[in-house]
Amino acid sequence: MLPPTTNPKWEKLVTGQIQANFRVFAGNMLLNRLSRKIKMDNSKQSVNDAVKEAHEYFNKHYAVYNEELSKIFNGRL
Amino acid sequence: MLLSVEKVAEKIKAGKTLYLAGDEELLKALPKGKWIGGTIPYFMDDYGGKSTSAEIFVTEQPDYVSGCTIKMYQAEELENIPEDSVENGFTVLIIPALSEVHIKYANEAPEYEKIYDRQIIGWISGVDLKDLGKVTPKVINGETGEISDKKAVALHAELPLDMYATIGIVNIFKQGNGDAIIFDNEGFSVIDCYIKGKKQNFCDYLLDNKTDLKNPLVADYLGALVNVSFQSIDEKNKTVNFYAPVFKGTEYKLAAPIENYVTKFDESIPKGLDRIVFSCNCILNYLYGELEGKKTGNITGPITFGEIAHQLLNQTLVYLNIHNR
Repeated sequence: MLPPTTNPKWEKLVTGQIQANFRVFAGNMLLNRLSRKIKMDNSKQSVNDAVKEAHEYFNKHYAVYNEELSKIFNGRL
Repeated sequence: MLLSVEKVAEKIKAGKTLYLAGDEELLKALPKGKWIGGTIPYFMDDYGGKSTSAEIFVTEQPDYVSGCTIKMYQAEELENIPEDSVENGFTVLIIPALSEVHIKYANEAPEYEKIYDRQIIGWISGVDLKDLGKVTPKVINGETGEISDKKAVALHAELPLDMYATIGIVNIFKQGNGDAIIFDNEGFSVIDCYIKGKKQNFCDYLLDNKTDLKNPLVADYLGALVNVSFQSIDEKNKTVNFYAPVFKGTEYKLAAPIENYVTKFDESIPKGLDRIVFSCNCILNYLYGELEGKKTGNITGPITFGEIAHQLLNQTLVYLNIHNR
């Protein structure tokens, strides 16, 4: 199960402060798209929307990204 | 695998669903059935890279695919592709090179709703390089027989619930140690760029630095390296043309040179890819890497004028892999 959206690492992921380097390309591309959106509008609402979108995406594709996300959220990255 | 028209026709008549690549006349000679195709005479076969207009490259859809539909898309309908793609499935998309659909998809696909949520893989159809400018690349909907140089064709496949698909890419290029290059406009051609904050003509920059245009520009999208390949330099108009669009504000670097493409592919292709449904590689890798007669791991497929892994890519091998849940 993924950590909740309140985990600060989500914000770091969508703003590019943590680089995920997923084996499956789409996850990086989604995060890149969200980070570009935030560069254009870095309001709290914009960041929250991006975190929500990322959380929904990775929750839906949990089987694909589980292993790499675990490393990020367990503090190894 | 490469097969004769007769052998491919047998498979179609036997009810197989096929993704085909080959010469236009060969594809036109096939019976109607559950297949899609695109024109190209370059392939990576089991025995290595090969150029032929006498055989068709056949990718047979696995029997575990539980259903599929084929649809053609005009330029204004392209944004519907992710929505039409089956949530638990994948889409094989073929787009004719040098067409409005090619340019529109390249420019806009990264912003389509659900583009990274659905597994959309495919390629840009082309022609024999000696026929460039004389013959247009085409796609064919085998179900209706419609052939087009203006529309894209997609096969949307559904997987059983205990399976899922992922798309992988193998980009043998890395960013070099040179300047970070930024453009303030988007598209397949540029005039100026910004380097260290200073505006300069990109054509002059490339010429002054004696840049080898075989090496693409590489952008680092939070860890995913995406190439933009050089098509030409127009010295008269001081313009640089690409095979894919550059995007405004994105930081690019020239790629580090590759010494041996075959070795690099062998090192870079992940191990254990035992359920690849479809794959393709780029014509520029084929040409610059002199891949005719040489293998790139065990990955086969058409050699294309552009690769689609959700969005358009250049000088990249792409593949669709199936997993059990």
